[in-house]
Amino acid sequence: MTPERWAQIEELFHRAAECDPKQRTFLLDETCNSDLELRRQVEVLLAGEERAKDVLKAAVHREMASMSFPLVGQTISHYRVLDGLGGGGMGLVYRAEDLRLGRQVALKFLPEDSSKDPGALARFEREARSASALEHPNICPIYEFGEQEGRSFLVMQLLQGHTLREIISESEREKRPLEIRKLLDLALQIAAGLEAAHRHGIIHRDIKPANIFVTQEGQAKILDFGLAKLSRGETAEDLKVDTTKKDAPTVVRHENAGQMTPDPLLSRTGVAMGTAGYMSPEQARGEKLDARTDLFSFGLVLYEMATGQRAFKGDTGPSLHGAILTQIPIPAGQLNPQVPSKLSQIIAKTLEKNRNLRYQTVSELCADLEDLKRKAELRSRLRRAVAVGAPVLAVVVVSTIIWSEKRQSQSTPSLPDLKLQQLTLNSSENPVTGGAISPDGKYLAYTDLNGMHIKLIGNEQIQSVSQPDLFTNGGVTWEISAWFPDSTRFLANAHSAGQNPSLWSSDDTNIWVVSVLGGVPRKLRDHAVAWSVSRDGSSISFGTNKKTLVKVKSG
Amino acid sequence: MLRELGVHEHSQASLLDQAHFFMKIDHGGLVPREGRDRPMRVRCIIPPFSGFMSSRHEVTHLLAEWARGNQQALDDLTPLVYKELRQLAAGYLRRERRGHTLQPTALVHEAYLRLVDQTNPNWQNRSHFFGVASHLMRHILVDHARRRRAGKRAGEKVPLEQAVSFQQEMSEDLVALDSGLTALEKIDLRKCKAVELRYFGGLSMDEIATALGVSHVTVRRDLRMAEAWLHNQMQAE
Repeated sequence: MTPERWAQIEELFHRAAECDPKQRTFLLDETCNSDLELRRQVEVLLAGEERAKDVLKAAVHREMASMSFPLVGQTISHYRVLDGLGGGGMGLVYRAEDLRLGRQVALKFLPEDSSKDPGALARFEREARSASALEHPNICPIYEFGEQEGRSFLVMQLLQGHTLREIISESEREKRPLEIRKLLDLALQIAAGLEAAHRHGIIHRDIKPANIFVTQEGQAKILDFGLAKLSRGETAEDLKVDTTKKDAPTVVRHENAGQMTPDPLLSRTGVAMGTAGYMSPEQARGEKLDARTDLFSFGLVLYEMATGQRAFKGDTGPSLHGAILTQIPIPAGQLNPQVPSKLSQIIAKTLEKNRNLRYQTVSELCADLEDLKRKAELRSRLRRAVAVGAPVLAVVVVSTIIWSEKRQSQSTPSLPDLKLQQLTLNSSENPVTGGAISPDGKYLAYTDLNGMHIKLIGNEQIQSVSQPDLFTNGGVTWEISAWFPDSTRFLANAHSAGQNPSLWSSDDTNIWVVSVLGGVPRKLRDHAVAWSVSRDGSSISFGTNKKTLVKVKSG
Repeated sequence: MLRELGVHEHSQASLLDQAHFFMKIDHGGLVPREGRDRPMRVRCIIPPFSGFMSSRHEVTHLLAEWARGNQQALDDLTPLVYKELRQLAAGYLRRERRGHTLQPTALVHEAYLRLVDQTNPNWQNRSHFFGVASHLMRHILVDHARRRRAGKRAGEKVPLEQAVSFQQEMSEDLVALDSGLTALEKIDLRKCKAVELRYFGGLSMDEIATALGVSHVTVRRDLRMAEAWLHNQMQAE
């Protein structure tokens, strides 16, 4: 193409691009005349112009993505690498398929230098194995250790969800702090995982939001037990480099290229500093560590969950260390008014510089968190009950509070020996709609959107109640009414599905007897709503469409 | 030809004047041997700050030399910048956060901050540096795409069902863009440079205008035309 021709095409392209479609045709007709090739070339350019930028950007971006995750598409040992999940300080993480077991897993590659010290690697492996062996629901299990071309990798459970780091950042971006209820729920789960590990003599040493994963079901899982031992050498070295580098701060530009962001967490020393930010004072001083170091780091995580901010800030490793050793953070309650003062106090106690003044064990911390959670729940239940206008329930709850507070003032300062235990693990898409514990306390009968279930308490086993033929095509909403005293059967009301519970009437309801021994429920009566079973199990009371309360002797 | 395209009075110092050096070097030759022989993933871990201080002085010096018209300076500069970009890419790969993909522009900017003395900022040095770095970034990426494609063809460990995969398509994309740029370079060098600076160097319109020694409006027009033309070339391929 001659420069003249090129200039001609460009000139016409720009002029045509400025026009509206009608004028454009006119312009091309007039300018191109009999030069059909010119017209074709300009039209081709105009046709693709809109998408051009995106196509170019995508080409660059996609190649970059594949460079970020070089193993995608390869098979390593018996794992086929499917795609890149991300990476943290400790290396890249991929989603992969275990070709032997046919399940999906996460592969985490350890930094190359960590494989060079077989002693450190063995220590890490031992620790990670023992943490994994606890089989605790709040510790992410490691299935296997592998090696590929001298690089060690871990095979872990594939989790769907986000790290706590992402959750905190997200809530900060949206200026919506974590709900206190959610915070306490996550905190108790993390504490449960930590407690189990500590009980077996395993210290994490690197508790931080990026090492805590929250699944879509809301279950918290602690990641990377033992890994801190591997990264320690690197941390110290990086920090040393950083001190010599004060005059040349590393500035990273990312995302929008227009704006420079000095982001110490992204800088070359980022790995170390991210970790340095969650170190305990004894860790910063390089002292011998015990389980209480995890408590301090956990306190920093709590602080950040409550306030969205880090308790200690610093641009460089040394200034962060200085802050951890000497500064007292602003109380969490001052930064977020939603934070109850008790929680503020709990966090402050975990952040005591002197480890003898901190909570000494996770269980001590747990007790305080649970106490707080219970009170928060009671308060919100009371609020809800009053709002719904269920005076009876309100009376019951209020009297419970009065009773418990009276008891509290009389005897010990702590509440009666209530211990909360979560019985079901339903997601918010499928909430539990009702339930009742059997008189002997062994079973929980409960309902959710999928139907009716019986759970042996203290055991993961859940048995779903078979649907009677009548209901196999749906059309029923179960409501658990009452247990028989022998704890082998209970009454359930089957309401027509799709109806608002406030409109449930005996006309569209029938009573069934469900046995914990299995089998299909047995219908007791049509057009009636069961209310209760007498203490001796001989009678039940129920309401009928005649709006009367009836008692029958059960057989 | 350059004069015909309207090179502007800064041209003595403008990137465009130097840009023809790239044309002399064949594409393979630009990439240092070391980088071509060893696959990226094997080189993932590089000790931080290797040769940091020395290359900073060296690069600043070479940029100044090049601006003075010393053509050898570019030949000496290229491998230094290339090495830094590769190292930064590897470093990023290690600590890339979840859900974030490496941005070429982030790499080029970080390389600039690391390699060029910031105490005495100089727009000429900056322009020249970004010219070289964005060009090299393009090569790093296309090199990666080609190697990946070659690996697949040679029957690397790739399961059958992935033989015609998304992965392959994406490498074609970048290879197609690269061939388009090579063709464009011959027709209109300035437009090719503008695209490199924009897409591989992440410069703003104003920065590109300064680097190429033309007006903001010209850059806008250049990019619009070049993007449309390259898109068409990529579709045709």
